[in-house]
Amino acid sequence: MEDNQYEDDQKKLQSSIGESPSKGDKNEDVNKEAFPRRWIYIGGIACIVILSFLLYYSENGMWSKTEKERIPIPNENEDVLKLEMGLIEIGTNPFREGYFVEKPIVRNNGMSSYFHPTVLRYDIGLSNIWREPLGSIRGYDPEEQTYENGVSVHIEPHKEFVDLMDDVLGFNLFTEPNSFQGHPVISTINGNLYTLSYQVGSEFENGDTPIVPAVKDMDLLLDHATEVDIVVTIQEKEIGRFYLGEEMHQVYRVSEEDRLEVLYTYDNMVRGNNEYVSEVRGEIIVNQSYDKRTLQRGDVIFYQTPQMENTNQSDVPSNSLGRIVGLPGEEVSIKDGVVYIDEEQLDRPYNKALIQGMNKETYLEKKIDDHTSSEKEEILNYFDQGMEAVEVPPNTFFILSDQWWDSFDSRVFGPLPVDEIEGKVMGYKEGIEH
Amino acid sequence: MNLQKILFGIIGVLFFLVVVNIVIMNENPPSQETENTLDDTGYKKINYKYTGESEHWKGEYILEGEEITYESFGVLEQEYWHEGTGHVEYIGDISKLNAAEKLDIKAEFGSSSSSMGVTFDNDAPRETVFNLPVDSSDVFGVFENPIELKLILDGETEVLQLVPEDISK
Repeated sequence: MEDNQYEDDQKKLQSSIGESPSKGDKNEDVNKEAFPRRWIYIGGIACIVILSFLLYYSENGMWSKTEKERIPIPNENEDVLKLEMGLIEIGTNPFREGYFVEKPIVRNNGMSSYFHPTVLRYDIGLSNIWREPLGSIRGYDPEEQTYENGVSVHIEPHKEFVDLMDDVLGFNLFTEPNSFQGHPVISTINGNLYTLSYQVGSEFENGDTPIVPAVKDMDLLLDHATEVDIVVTIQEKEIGRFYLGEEMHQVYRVSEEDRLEVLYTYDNMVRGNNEYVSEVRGEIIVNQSYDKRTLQRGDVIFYQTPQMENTNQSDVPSNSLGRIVGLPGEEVSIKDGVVYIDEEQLDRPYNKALIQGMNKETYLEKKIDDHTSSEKEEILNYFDQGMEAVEVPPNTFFILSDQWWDSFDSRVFGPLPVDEIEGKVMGYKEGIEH
Repeated sequence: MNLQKILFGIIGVLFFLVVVNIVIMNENPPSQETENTLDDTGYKKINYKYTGESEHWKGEYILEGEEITYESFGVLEQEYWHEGTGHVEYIGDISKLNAAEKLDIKAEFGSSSSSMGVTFDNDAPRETVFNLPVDSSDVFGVFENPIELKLILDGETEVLQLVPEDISK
């Protein structure tokens, strides 16, 4: 029995030996094992790469793009901007810098009034030559009123100018602008204008601001004010840099002796907020030393009212304020209360008949019920008024008031000769707090 | 063997992160930022091109802008900008335009309209391209509506419709 068992075991052993692999078979088996393991590693790594890729690019997920990453920004060295205009000005310009006032001063009579600092101001006009708008309002913070992805403009002075500021002012003006105006987006259609103002000093002792330097020093500052780079950025990435010393610019300054202060009570320039009314705003400041070549559409001027036919001159103020609407060589007409220049509708806020700053639709909606039926007809005629085309001869301008009602302007006396212009209005002296 | 375990561990962690990510994405659906539609952040990019052609005229108007709607003290507020530019070009028999004395262009947008007129000077070379009396504020907010133009050449009216196309994509 035991022998049989032994034989069986022997047979089993032999058969198992017979089935055992040869040397070559062993190698083949090793290869069979290595093949799937290698592919497991490769597959694993591929999975990691694919999963990482999916995670990173999944929008609105854990690693979603931020608001910053969502807006298109030009590549470095890509020309996307063109400097169209650079205007530099130094002076006290309260009308333009109306938002830019210091703390009120209390006068001896107990009334307080605001005063305005002297500023070095840059107006920078940029056009967009890229394929789409530069900057975005995306990421707007309503509380801070800031634009995360907006276009930002700053000024970097060259070393010579920094040294000069050290000598004249004792500090660098350009650490931060005291005021910045400009839209966060530069469209491909109209471009944009940026205004940066830097406080040079104040005419009054107030403890916060240094007294303005002497006139000769301010002239020196202005002479070197083009020694700066205008730098345009989005998300702190530079998209444009312009050296003003090599670009087009105008330099302009109003000195004390060139100022004319006018007490103006006529309401022909009112746009709904007593603009230019001295009783509310203070005396109008007129610059008499302006360069006539710099006058442009939109400028408000102080002028001698010309003699008019069929008008009782005693009803007409001897001097008036008006806005330049038509330039020499242009043809100005008015149709249905709207101004046309060379047959094209003027694209400016002062292009139509207004009452207290209200256009026809707004006025009819809000104010028309305050009037009698005859007045209503008169008002409708006012809003729909017309004027045949008038050609503006050389050395003249076509002047309109901001409120045409009861106003004497170029609609009545025709184009105004340049010689009748006494000065360019810079703003008002001070706003009196009642 | 250990390497295999580490590998499977990493893949497991990644799968876990993918699942978490999918949950987050379900709560914040992806925005369609390049379309003229309001996305989840209240942002809308506006970029339309209006084009059209009639027998004697073809025209184009481009509108650019952005709009953000946000809530402030419980009130919905908007921040936006828009700009537009456009023109029409005479493509008919030029002798007819040369003989004309006056062209009026009227643009209609639903209930409002605007117009401009051109009185031709016989001595000056005749232009064939004319700016449109269309302000972007006329179109803003009603982007999908076509701009209806009436081109009146010496009293003869031709209607040209500029159809909008979303070019923000």
